[in-house]
Amino acid sequence: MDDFTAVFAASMVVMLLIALLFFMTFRKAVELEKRLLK
Amino acid sequence: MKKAIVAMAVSLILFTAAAYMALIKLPPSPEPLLRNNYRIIFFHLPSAVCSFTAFTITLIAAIQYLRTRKYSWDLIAVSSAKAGFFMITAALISGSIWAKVAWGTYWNWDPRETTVLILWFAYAAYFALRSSIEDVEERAKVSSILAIFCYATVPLSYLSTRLYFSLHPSTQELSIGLNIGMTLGMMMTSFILLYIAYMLLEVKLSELEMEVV
Repeated sequence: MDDFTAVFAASMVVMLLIALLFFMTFRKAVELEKRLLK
Repeated sequence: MKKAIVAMAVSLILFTAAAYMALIKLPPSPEPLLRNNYRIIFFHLPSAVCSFTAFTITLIAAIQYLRTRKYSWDLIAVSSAKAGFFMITAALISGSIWAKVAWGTYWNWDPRETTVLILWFAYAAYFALRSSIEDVEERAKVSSILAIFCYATVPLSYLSTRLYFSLHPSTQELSIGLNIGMTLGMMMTSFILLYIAYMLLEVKLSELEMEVV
């Protein structure tokens, strides 16, 4: 693996995991809204 | 909600500036082993620091829950543990990618790698335990006790490089120049702000969810 690929892969992993964390919160908010609208 | 949006916006501005510095502006390292792969530190170190901060907040919230029996403390503990778990996973994966280019293999069973893996399993057990208990009060009590025990793995992994021989540099061994230090500081601030924004959103949502249920 060359340096460029390693830096790209590592930064992508970190950013994707942070995005997933916020996505889970977003999904929770959407589900809560659905429940409130019922 | 407003505070969370402000924290997120400031974090994104800082992150963009730090990522520009880290990936484009800063020159390669003079160390032949590091060259350009040292840039991983700008993502690896802030995730590790942020996860340790998150687990410390989990510990404080767990102790507070056991003292006061206020359910909001348990919500803070679990939300913070979730953020910490994601961050430590990011640090673990980015670290093993860095290990591949710098040391030749993804995994070396180095003391730091091993103790962080133990930490990861300890907090995975915390979530498994939480999902196995139906009763809200019982779940909060048992998981708060476990969170206190899980925290022992945080100083263990932090001190692992000083206690045993390790390939991983300890914080004392790092010699960081002004530009690298500034970029790292910006990245760390950005990660901590993101964590604060996440906590504000998640705790508020969990409280609302409890009211609805």
